[in-house]
Amino acid sequence: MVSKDSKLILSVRQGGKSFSQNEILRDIDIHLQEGDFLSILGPSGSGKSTILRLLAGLENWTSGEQVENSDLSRAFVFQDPNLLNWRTTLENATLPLELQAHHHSRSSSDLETQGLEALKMVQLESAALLYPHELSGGMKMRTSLARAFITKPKLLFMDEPFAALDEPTRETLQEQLRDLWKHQQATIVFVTHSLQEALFLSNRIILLHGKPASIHKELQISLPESRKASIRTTPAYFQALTELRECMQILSQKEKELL
Amino acid sequence: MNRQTLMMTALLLLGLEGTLRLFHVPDYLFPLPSQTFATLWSSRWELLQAFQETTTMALIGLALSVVGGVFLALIISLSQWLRAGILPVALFFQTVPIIAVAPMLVIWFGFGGPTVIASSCIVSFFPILASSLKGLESTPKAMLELFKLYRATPMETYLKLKIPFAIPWVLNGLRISLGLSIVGALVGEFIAGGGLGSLIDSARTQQRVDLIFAAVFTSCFLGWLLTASFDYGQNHFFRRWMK
Repeated sequence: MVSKDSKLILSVRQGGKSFSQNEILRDIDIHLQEGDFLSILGPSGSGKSTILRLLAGLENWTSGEQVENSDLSRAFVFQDPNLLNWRTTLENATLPLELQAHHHSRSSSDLETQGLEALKMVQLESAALLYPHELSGGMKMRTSLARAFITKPKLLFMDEPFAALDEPTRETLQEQLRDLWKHQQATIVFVTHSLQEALFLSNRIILLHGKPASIHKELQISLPESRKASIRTTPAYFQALTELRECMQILSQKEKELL
Repeated sequence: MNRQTLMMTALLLLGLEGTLRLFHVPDYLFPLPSQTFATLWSSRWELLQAFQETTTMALIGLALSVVGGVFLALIISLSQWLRAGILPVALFFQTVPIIAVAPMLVIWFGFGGPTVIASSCIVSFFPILASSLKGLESTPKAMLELFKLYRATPMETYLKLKIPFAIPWVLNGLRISLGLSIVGALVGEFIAGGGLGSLIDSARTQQRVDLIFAAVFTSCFLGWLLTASFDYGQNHFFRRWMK
């Protein structure tokens, strides 16, 4: 998806973040190109989610600078689906369009059509009229994905969205996400602590390390663009996974030495 | 009311009847349950009229509390400055005992309905205000951030997120206030006349303990009826909020 002609859409230089006197992040350099699928990997509490929130503009860097194309439409998928209990699946999916109604006028039938299209993308059109309490964990997360993709965002931030799901549901959703990313030509920044998830989804992986955390290594993933579940059994995938695991082991050893 | 509750109530009443008869407790101190039921029947029209009056006054007081409490909660939730200014005053009024204020209400509103409504409203107001405010301030941060990301206006955030999210809290406050509105109406009626409160007061002056018990039983029935109707309405119309 990222080609030589891809534009730089977001760039952070020497980014740092502190909460009160506690320095969380130091010297963060991230450059996002159009069509990127970047995963941020690191142990729990390393500041992965903080980086994502900073990139999304939900918080401000304490130091450094972030340059971005402010016209880009963006969406955020949280670890919890955050669905509104009083709205149906369809109404939850169309929420962003309703909120943008003061910018672009849309009829209710238009909203419904787009909502159903978004639900179809995540194979949830049959649950359009169900309420969140009637959905499984995986269905709730798919609704959250439909809500994120309905505005056709150019930049999507995802904070461990599949962490609470069982393995088969997680793998299905990973495949669906990869398809949606290709189909919508979006740029995605994905936070996870799962090596397999990061490897299957991403084109690039950033490894965080230390306290305050900084970027230890950036890896380019050279797996084929088109990825299905079967890729997990290929030698190329195993080799990439082993390299990634070794990197993580070195990091955890370094952290033990520091302690 | 299920079968077990009915059976337990019947057992308790039978036990009470037997105990009172066994110890020859005089009926001017504690009437027999059978005597109370006989009075309930013989004074049914008087009790029914009082029941209707108290119900009407309590419901009007409660409705005013809902409108005022939710409106004030919305205003307070708009800014920390307003919260700091209004909430302590509201808390202070909550601590004023209604029985001490009731005579003042008669001076301000005169005898009859307006005083009873005011008394009911004062007592039932605070739980609705406190619950509504809690609901409006409990919107999860992630949901607020979601609305911020989609560039929702403050009005949209209120109408599509904060207010719908606060509905279960408002309903909780309303359920507490239901019982309090009856208490407030009865206290108002003791002072200003009318309804079950006045009936209890006049029965007291006539030493009609059986009628006092019948009126108290009717008040309890009113409380149960309002709560049961509320629960039915809540399960019927607000089911998806309560899940």
